Amino acid sequence: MNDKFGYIKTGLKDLPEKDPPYDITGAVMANISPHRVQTKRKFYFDFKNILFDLYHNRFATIAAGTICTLLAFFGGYALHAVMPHHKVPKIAGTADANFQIGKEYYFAGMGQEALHFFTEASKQSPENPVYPFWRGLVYWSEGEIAKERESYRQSIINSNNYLPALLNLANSYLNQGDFNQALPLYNRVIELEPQEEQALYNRALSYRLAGYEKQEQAALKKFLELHRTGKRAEKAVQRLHTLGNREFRSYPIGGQQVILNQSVLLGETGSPVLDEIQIVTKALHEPVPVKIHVVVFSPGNLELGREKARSLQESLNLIIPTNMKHSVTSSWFDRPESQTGNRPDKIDESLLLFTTPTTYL
Amino acid sequence: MEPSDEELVARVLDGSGDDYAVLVRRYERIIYNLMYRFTANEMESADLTQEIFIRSYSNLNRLKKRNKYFSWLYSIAMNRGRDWSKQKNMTLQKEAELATSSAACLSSAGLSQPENTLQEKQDSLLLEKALMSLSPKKREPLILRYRYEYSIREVAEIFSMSESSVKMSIKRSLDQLNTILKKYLSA
Repeated sequence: MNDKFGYIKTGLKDLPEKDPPYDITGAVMANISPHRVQTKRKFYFDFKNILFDLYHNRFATIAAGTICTLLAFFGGYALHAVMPHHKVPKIAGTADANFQIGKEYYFAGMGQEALHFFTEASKQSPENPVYPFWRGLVYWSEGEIAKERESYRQSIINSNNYLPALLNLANSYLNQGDFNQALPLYNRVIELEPQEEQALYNRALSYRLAGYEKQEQAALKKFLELHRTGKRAEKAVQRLHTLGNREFRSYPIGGQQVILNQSVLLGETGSPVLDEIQIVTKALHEPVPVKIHVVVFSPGNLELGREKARSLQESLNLIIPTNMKHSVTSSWFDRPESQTGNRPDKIDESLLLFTTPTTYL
Repeated sequence: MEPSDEELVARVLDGSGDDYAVLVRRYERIIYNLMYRFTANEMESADLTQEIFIRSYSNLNRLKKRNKYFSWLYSIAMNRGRDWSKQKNMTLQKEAELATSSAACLSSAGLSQPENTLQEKQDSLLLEKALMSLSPKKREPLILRYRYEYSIREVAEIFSMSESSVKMSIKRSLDQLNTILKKYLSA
């Protein structure tokens, strides 16, 4: 019988794998104690044997019971005398030490213990913005939104330029749909760190929630000017297309999708075009030679289409290193490129860019 | 001959901690790739993989059937992956709500004919994208079954499901993948 999923099964079988970035085996072995499992196991078997003896031997049961009672009675007094404050975790002498201990607890998933140490660190160094920020993280992981925000606010009071607290406070508001509170915080983050990816993207989301389409488009374009890779960039391009803006497009170059600004490539000269072409060359890092196809659609103006296609071809030839043996072809049409989608294109002129392996041609 | 998982686990439990390195080396790649499918981040996946192996070592004495080390390890990894996603989703909740599927992303890009032809040559890239649009519960049994060639019975053990449920789940996931891939190619 013909297997209609045969091509998927074959594809799955050949699914590429990623190589781990560092020696995981070495790192694991450096972090484990070879005797730990054995000791635990020994205790488990010893305990099991004792239980077995108790079950089968009445005398042993009575003796064990008596010993346990005596131990509980006298041992309690002894422990109380030696460690009267045993239940209270010890506090380190410096704020930084408490902070480090708190972080260990936080990463071990022990929120309350972490909180205890972060709070102590804050008491010892009340002006430090880092400690309340980490308290905010603990509250976030425990779903206590009000306390989380309060902690971030405290962190910002301590240092009004403390970027992680500003960003997390903004995210906390956005998660609740409160774009009015989130927007000025994202703007502040971007003012401090103009390339901050999450702030740039979430600012656009805030505008979207607010229903400010123009500002949303501007924010998405700003994001894409600075970030062309990753899921956020893909979503930003997709959203701009939905809004009828095709300035940015995703092109299949050298086996991956590359986001380029087609308006820049078709409409400008000089360094902005070269910057876009640099993105193309970065995607062509593999030694396998490819043919790059430049196709310009210039409705009603064949000559202009030819001029732009040739100019792009020349720029590509200029920038692509000759040792990579890629070739560039160009073509042009005086009709619009057929497009799919619900909205009519606002850009009549368009650019299609793709690569094919040289061996296929 | 390579020692079996059962032999290695027994040796580790008897105090030969160094034998654990053989188990780690045997499965680090598969676990790392599983984590990568959750996180899409190399360093994060490597750290999680390391954490999973350390956790598995600490709890090795709880492993009842020593020959089932891999099933047990994989369940630990799946749980850790889910926890990681949960934590991550809390911060990016709004982002996720507003996002659409990667299938829609590709179709709205307005790919034209030459690109489609090219994409036929990029099956594995498309397949990866399509796979990532499935939930881990649907995706991972498929990968274990066809990428690593584990039997239905082994997959059933890992996911604590009956063999017939695994068969049904795999069939549905293949159907879903087929639909997604067709959508990509017709976009």
